[in-house]
Amino acid sequence: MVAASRELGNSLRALIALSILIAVLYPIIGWLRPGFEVILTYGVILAIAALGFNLLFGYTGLLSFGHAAFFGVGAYTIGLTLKYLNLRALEAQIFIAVVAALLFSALTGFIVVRYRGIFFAILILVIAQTLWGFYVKFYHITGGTDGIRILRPVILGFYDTRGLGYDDFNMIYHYYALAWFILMAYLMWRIINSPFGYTLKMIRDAEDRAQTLGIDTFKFKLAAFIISALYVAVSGALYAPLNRIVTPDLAYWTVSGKMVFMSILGGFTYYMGPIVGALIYVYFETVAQAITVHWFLIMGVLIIATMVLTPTGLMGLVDRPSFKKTLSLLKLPI
Amino acid sequence: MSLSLAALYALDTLFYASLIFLIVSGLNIIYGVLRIVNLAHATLFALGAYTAAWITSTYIVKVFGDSLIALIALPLLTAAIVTVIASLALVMPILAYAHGKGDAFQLIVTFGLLLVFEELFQIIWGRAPLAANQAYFALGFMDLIDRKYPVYKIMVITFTGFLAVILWYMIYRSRFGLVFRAVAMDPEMSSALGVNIGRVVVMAIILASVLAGLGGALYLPVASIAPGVSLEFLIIAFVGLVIGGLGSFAGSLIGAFVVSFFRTFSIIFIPELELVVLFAVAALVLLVKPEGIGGGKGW
Repeated sequence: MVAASRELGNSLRALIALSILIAVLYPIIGWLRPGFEVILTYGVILAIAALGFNLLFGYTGLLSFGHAAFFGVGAYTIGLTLKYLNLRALEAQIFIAVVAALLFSALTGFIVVRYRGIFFAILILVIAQTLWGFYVKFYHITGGTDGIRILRPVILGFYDTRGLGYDDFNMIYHYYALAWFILMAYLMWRIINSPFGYTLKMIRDAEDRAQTLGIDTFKFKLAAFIISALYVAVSGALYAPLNRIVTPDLAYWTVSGKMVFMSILGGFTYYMGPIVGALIYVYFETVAQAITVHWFLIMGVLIIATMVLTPTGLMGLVDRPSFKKTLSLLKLPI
Repeated sequence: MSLSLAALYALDTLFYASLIFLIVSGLNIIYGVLRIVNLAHATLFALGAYTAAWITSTYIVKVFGDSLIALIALPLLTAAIVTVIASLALVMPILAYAHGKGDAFQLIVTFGLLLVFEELFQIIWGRAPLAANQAYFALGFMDLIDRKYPVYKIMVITFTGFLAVILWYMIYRSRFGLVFRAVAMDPEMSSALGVNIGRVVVMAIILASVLAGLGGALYLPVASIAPGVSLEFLIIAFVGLVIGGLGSFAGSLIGAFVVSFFRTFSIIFIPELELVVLFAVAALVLLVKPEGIGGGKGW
């Protein structure tokens, strides 16, 4: 029983089951509560970002409060390539976003992954706020706070979604995003269950020991940082056409907070944690924003409540024995 | 650069250093006794500013008119009281719970607190910027060679210098300071020697909140307070913390001064790259001297 529940947190079967559930639920929710089905699309897109964020936090032990930077890189690549290159082929745009995120994260990661704890968190936050400032201040390029309107993209290289009705586009885009999610989630499963992933966990648990064993921990942390940034950038790129507008808000510090929340809500020690967290997060957000504009108050309270009541997140409620392990992991060295 | 301009920049550097010192020293005091870096600390600064704006425009101007003493003293007093109450009610339970729970836990929980505070401010005072600059203009301007400089900023620098001296005296010369430094050095040993740790922690949190609240109230007349200001000061204060080093008096002073120096000059010459400059300075200091320029020695 215990083994089965632990299996649930890190299994491809759970991923497949969840993906099928999301695919099936979409038309059902659309039928029961029209307009609500798009939550699932946002959910799978944000799950990609949460997976990337959690590779760094849950698996490498680096807590970032600045991953909004890479979300912004992804979203703004879509906006800027559309505005200046008139590029509407989404895969080509995502490819450019990945290259941009690769360069940007390699450059910044080279500096920030040397630090841990509060120093890492603050330096990456400064980077994110710098980029946010650029989007606001260089308005002649980025449109400032008005942002950039995103036209319907051409997907798979030939399918132009411009002529589609609202509901048709949303449905096609949902399955398109779901396919991306499955691809990225599968790759993440391969990454964390590879020798590379195990090395990251070793660095998280005992960096000194890893170094003693001859591992260049800087290289591994930098690689984890870059992969994590790529995931978040892909998520940002997929988010833009659905959001239909790219504004500096997408790169604001609160977006980084969302990723932190999604990871801890689902359970940051589990592969499935951030995925579950992202899906539940978007549901919470939609429901809460229907009642109040002060969603961040609720989110702040929920962050504190999650950490106090179940630090292992919702997955941890299923998997009791690892409770102690998570508590020990939270005592990361500063 | 003319002499008067240089003097102006120097005074502005000191002015921002004063404000940042009031936040950074509080962060260091809390870190000293609890070993927690409180991400929500700069929101107390914002709370001080909001309180000052609110009390000035709703009561002070109506009741006391343009009485200079009331315009300057009352916002400070109210801000300090409100900040302490909010801190004891909301911040202290969280910090007490997070004590000893590890870095990631503390960062996440205090981040949650930051969100709560930011949103509470918007519920209470709205999203539009609030300003109350009566004190700033009431004090007028003085001659600075061939320019004018606000007397208010000089007053803030002097007042903060005064506070810094009091703080230094409290920590290094008073009985409270002795106990405080003992707890910062070795809480278990202090406890074994009969120190009431809980009382010291409460005192430290009150002290840190008063400093942050006063900082906010002092800042308000020269600018305005709006959502996002907390985070701006959070970042600047943390860069100051990184530069100065965690948990020391000298570190707070050095960090505040250095970060203010770079901030003032980058705002003058390359305003778009203000944060880039701060980032570069922080990363460089961490690379060369990871414990910070004035840190490593503790309180």
